[in-house]
Amino acid sequence: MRVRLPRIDTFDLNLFEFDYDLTFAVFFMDSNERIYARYGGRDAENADNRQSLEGLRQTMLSVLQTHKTEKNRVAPRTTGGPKFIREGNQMGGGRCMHCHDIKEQLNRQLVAQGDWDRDQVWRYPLPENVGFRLFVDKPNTVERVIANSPAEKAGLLPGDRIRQMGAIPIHSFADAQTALDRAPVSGTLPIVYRRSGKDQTGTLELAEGWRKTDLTWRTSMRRMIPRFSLPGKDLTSEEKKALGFASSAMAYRLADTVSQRLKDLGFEPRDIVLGIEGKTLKLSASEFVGFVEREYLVGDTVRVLVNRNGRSVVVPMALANR
Amino acid sequence: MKRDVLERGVLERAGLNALKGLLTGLILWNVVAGSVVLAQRGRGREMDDSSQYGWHANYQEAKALAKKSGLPLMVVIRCVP
Repeated sequence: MRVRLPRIDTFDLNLFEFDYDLTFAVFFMDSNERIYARYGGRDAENADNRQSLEGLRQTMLSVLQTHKTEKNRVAPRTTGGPKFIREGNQMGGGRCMHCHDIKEQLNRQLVAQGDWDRDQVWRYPLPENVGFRLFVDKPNTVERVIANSPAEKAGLLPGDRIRQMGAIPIHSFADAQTALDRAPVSGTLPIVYRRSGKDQTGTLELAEGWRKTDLTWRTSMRRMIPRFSLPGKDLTSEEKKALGFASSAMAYRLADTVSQRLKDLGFEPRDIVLGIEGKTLKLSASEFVGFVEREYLVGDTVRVLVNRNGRSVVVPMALANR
Repeated sequence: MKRDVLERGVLERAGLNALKGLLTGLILWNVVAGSVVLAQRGRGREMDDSSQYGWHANYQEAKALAKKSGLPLMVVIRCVP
């Protein structure tokens, strides 16, 4: 039974709970509103990187099989009863809200209730955050496993079919993201996968900061993504060698004159930027900008490591809005 | 006499300008209203198209039908800009 909803703001958000930065999402459920699976999702690189018609077809087949033979294999309903974005679901035929507006309003509610914390910025982490990637056309099958990752330590191998993560049955990338969204900020997440027709179990170890994902595509987060500007020119390999820096390490020189803003922060002309938070990086000057904008949020203060006339100097920079 | 003619000319011109303004307003109104109607027709056609292929637009009705038929529900949420 196919239903097409062009707006979500009149529906129970505890039922239709998904990554509201998306403009397309699919729910598969029974007539008692028990959710079998979800489909959809994207990454920062591309809106269509994680979905395909074949992937949707495979998810539909998997759901139909579940509906026939494992009717109780459903995702647990979010507790707390129905939740509407507008008071008492009274919005009627008013102006439609974009899904990302819904997320922004939910975040504002969390702030008002004092329930907001920094980790809620990184919603719906990618499976890569725990070390595996799923095939797009076989959406619950592992395509690759990252070396030394939680997934590798949990025993996952390419070709394994993920059956369950935490309490969420996995049919698709969207299910994996939902399970990861509900996983703790640090701790463990049990995983069940099928290999050679047999179910195997493992545990994903979740270290502090594991949720961090590139936010730059998320409309709802635009006010939290900082603008970082510290322009300069990459040193050549010869220049790095002469100064005793590793050839692969980031090292770029600020111009002969710097802006008043940078002077006020404590930078000087011809400072050589080497890294951040005491760490050197293997990036170019332009990649460094992207790195800071991905890894930090508005309001954070980053400590930029520079070399000034042979001495190491740390310059703190408070990150502002775009 | 000369003054009367002059005043009549001014009045006629004023009336003509008012008429022109009214006509321009009516034309603009028709263009805007026509665009809105066409846009709504376009959107309506889109919804009609999806119903032709078996898509429901009413969630509660679809849920009731799913209950009756024993079929699962596939709910697609698609932002229509």
